[in-house]
Amino acid sequence: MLDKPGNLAVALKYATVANQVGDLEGAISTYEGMLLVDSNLPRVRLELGILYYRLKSYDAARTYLETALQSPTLPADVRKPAEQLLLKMPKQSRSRGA
Amino acid sequence: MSKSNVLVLLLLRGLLVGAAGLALFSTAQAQSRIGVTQATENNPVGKPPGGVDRVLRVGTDVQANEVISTKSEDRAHLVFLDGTTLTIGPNSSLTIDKFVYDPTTQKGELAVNATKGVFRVIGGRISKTSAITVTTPSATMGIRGGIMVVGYTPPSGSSPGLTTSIFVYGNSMIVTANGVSQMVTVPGLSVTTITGGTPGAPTSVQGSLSAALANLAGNKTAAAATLVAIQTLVADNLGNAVTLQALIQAIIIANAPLTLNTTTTTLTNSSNIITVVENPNQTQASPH
Repeated sequence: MLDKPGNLAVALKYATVANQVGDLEGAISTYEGMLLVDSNLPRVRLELGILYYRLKSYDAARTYLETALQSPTLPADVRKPAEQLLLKMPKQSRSRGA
Repeated sequence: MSKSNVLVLLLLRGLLVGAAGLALFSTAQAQSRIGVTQATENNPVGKPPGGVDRVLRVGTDVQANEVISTKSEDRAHLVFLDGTTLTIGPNSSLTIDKFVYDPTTQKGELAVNATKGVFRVIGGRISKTSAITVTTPSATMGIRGGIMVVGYTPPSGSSPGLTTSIFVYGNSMIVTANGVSQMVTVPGLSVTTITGGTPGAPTSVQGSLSAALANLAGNKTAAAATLVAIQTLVADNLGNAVTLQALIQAIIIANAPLTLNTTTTTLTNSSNIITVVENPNQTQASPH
């Protein structure tokens, strides 16, 4: 990663494997960086939505799922699962301090 | 997870640690390298200590005490030797005050001083044992094991400077100003601090977080050939519809909300007032 920061294949492989072994922050870091290469990557945004959902960071998850679904280039076959996850999104906590 | 995937990750991490080792123990030039520019939009500028301004490009090394600034359409995404990433939004300026990392113990220290703009920190190995800190003219934020977004608006006219810090995920985010600290452990909550004041109570910030994330992602469109390559890589590496459906079903079940159990505790610690807002189950509100 550090030696080949511009190599998207290495980055994506790292993110995929990091995700699979539970290093969710490592995967998020990589996907967030990819959005600076092209901000309209709905499949990457969908992955971020799923990752933030797994971390129970629901506001962030909702933001990425909604922007992924707004993109007409999101593949049709993954649109339904994404919509399903968005429907299951818990409301963000309204907790506050004293 | 399969053994092959673990092996690949270990190899990738080996590259990371190897790079860290080289940076720390080989040439004088490498010793000053604390990270690298992983992605940019337009022309973010870095100024290493004693050096001159240079535009940060993908692969440009980042050094300790480097000053990094962006204009209205610039963004930069940096990755440090411990895996921490720092995304710098438009109209921002910061100095990397301190970076110390021992790849053997995977411990160290990272401190950033920001004078304007918006930033996201995704903690790497350092943050597992020590808080990564971002200091603005009105507050100091520390993040442990997680992700936070910090924005600082300098004073303008009669409006004082304002720091907004959003806890996105992690063990905790502590905001300190004028001897008072607010600790947040619930993802999505935000703390604002006016320069000269003390941190406000954590509040929910749906709109603010969405806006900040959009601001950090930017509007860049890759060249057509790059885009085709990315889409091919994405199709090859990310799950198909069937596996995605199964994954989503599994995580919906895994994240099924428990009873909301949020506590607010005020502690008095000598002269400091520490407010703790936490949800032990990290459970959010009831589903729709």
